[in-house]
Amino acid sequence: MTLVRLENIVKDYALGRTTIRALRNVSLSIEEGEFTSIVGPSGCGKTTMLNLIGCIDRPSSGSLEFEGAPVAELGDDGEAELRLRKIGFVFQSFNLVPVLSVAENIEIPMMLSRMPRSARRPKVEELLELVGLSDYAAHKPDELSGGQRQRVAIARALANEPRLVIADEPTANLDGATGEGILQAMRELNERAGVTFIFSTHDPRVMRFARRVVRLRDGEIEEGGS
Amino acid sequence: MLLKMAVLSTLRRPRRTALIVLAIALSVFVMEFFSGWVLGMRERMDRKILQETAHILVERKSRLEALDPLAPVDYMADAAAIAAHLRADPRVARVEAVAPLEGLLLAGPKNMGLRLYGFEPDTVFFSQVGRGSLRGSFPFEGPGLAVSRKTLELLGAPEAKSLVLLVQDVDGAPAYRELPVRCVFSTDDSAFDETTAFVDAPDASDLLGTVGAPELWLRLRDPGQAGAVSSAEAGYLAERGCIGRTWQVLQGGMLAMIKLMDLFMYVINVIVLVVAATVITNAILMNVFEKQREYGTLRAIGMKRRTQLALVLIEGAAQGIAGSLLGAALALPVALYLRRHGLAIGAASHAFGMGDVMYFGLSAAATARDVCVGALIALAGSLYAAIVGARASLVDALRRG
Repeated sequence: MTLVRLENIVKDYALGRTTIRALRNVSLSIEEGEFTSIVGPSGCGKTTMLNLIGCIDRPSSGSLEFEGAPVAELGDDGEAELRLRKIGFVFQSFNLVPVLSVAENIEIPMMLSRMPRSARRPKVEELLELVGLSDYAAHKPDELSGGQRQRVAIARALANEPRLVIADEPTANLDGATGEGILQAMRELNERAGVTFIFSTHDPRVMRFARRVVRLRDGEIEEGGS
Repeated sequence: MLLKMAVLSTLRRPRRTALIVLAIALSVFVMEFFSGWVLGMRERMDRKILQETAHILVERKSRLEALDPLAPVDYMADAAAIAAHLRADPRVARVEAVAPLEGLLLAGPKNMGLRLYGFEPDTVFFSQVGRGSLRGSFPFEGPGLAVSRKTLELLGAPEAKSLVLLVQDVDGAPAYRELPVRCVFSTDDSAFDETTAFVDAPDASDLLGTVGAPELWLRLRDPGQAGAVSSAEAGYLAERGCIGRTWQVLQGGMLAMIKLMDLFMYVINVIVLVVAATVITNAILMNVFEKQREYGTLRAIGMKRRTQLALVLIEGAAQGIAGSLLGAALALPVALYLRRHGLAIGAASHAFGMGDVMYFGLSAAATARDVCVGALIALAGSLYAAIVGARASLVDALRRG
């Protein structure tokens, strides 16, 4: 089943008086259960594409569908609801809330989706177990290593059992071994739980983890790159 | 958890949070100071109206227009009948004949000109004299004088047991009598103490050779009814050549001063609040800009714009409440001190209708109002910052930081 469909997507950014075209007529389908990597050099439009797929940004033209429904028809709140219930995000810089503990960071999406507190606690424990951080529940993010923080971010992304997890350069701020460990963990989640993953990278070592590679260059999908 | 996030966020920038909290605390402190000041003036006026002077003062119209209001002329010969008529009004609690007069108090070679009041032995007015009594008591029955300690000191007879009172009688001839000093008092108003003394009404009338009374002082069950009672009795009084003046007219100067102080207080409060709101808005705006990526992250994982708005408002409200309570806590001992010991600002104090020192008032309602205003200002300051923050697009928010 097609989870995400992009059709002739164009994305322009205004930069002063000039307009930068970040994506040019991009069309792409992401099937359920995929483990897809979007690769390409810096500035080729990877983050823009992930932002559009994750409903963080809106295309200048073209259509974007999530589970067969056009995203353009969702309002601001509808998009927030879609991100909350069906999409998980893993950021390059982890983006954890520094004043909250590891467990509380993982709990945020559940709290936002109004899950009862009694149901949240066991779910947090389960997710901590899943990413191997059960002993760090009460720690603050700044007490963890980069790899551990990214694991917390993954656990947070999985909190509401999303259909899709989007990871923008998830290993860019990690050393090689830690990065590979993170990707391995993501791959396991994909295989075990069937969660669809899309991640971006420009690191060739990381690409080998992907089952599908989409190559972007100058805002376009390269011929035979998908 | 949102509350925890908001409150803990304020601790990430302790200096900025301290600045916000102090700005609010300072504004609440200033509001408390001025509201205490005005409250003190109101309390003094209330005391004056309720315990010391008349709610309605009745006298002959010609006396009101006389060049010398203390001259023993234009007395109401039928004062007793007028008083009986006024007492019949159920709104009137008390009617007393009061006789202001001018006289000299003599102690050996020294003398002093004073305004004296001839009072009834069971008078309910002039409570400040009884309250400030140092020797003897007031009111008293029978012949005698009540003089201030200051007057006795100026006469060089601080321990005097009796003084001679010299007046000009109704025919312009001098009349005098030695009277025992039955009460020595000291009030919080030295100007009053240096110019005023009291003599029992029969002695005053006997010395002056007058019949009736120059003034009738009315105390009402509800001072707010003074206008209505005065209007109702205006015809009756006019037929007898008399006029009744309400406390609003008699204390007009003080009422005008209170209104002026109210206005002054509002202006000061507005200035303080605008300054505080500007400081708070800027500081919270800086917080919001610094945390844009954090808010962006939260929105990316599903938080709605209005929840982000609430998060910033909670942060502002938390700082507002902390600042307001701090301000109130700092103002409380100052207000308590000034309520007990007053603030001596010299002669200016009299211009504000106060005594030698200005005693401040204290009211839980005013404090609660000031605390609420402080918290609301913080909330209003953070609202602008919250709107600016929530207006940022999600992708821009995530790019920042």
